[in-house]
Amino acid sequence: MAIIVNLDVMLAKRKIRSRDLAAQIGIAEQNVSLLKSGKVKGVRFDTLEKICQILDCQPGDILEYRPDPPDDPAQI
Amino acid sequence: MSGISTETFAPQAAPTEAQTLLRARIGWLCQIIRALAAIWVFWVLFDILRLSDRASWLGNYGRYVGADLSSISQTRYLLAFALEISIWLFVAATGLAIWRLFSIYLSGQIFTVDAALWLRRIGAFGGATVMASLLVRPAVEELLTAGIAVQRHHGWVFTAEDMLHVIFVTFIFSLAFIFKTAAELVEEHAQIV
Repeated sequence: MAIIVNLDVMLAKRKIRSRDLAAQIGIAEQNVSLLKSGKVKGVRFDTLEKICQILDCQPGDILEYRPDPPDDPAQI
Repeated sequence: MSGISTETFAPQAAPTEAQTLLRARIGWLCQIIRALAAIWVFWVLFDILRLSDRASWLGNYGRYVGADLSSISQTRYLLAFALEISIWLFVAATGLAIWRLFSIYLSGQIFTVDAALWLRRIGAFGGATVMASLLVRPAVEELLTAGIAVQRHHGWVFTAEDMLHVIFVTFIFSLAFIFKTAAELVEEHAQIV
């Protein structure tokens, strides 16, 4: 998938643990782990807003669009 | 740094607060329905086992069709009894499915695919019970009265009560499909953090 979650990078930069972030946002730590690993279908705006507020960053620092490489024509 | 995956899913979500509240509200109803389902299964079994009294059953059935059935062979009697017992297997399966569904509700997993699948099983087993009942009735009559002059031959009868059962079973079946779709939406929603 072309959307990359850089939450773990931002957490490391700000030296904040997942558990603390989860507590401050008010969601389960498990959900933060799922978000870090990209195993979610989406992120609510209010969750994103709180993350940005706590980590003092922009949504673009957490989410990144990286196009998938085109299929190799030789394999088609 | 991870790409959002559409292939992987969050583990089975714990009951939401809304589901926990709902479970608290309907808990007593679930307990009652489970108890009624268990009573129904054993009631039907008790009724069928009463047919093991050959003289009593054939006497009552003889009055129902207006004939003396005391002379029929033991094989025909046992075959008719076996057919009646076969209905109970479907009844037991339906009762078990009802028990299982409401146990799932009691655990707080209300809007889940698992619950919807058990609801669908209730519809399927219930439908099978209705069908078996419709087929067994004329078969038993045929077994018990073949070659005997009867005053009232009932044959294959479809009553208004049967129609109600069919409507009810179809209703449950369609409800299960609706709930399954709703449960899938809930699960998808749970994957949005």
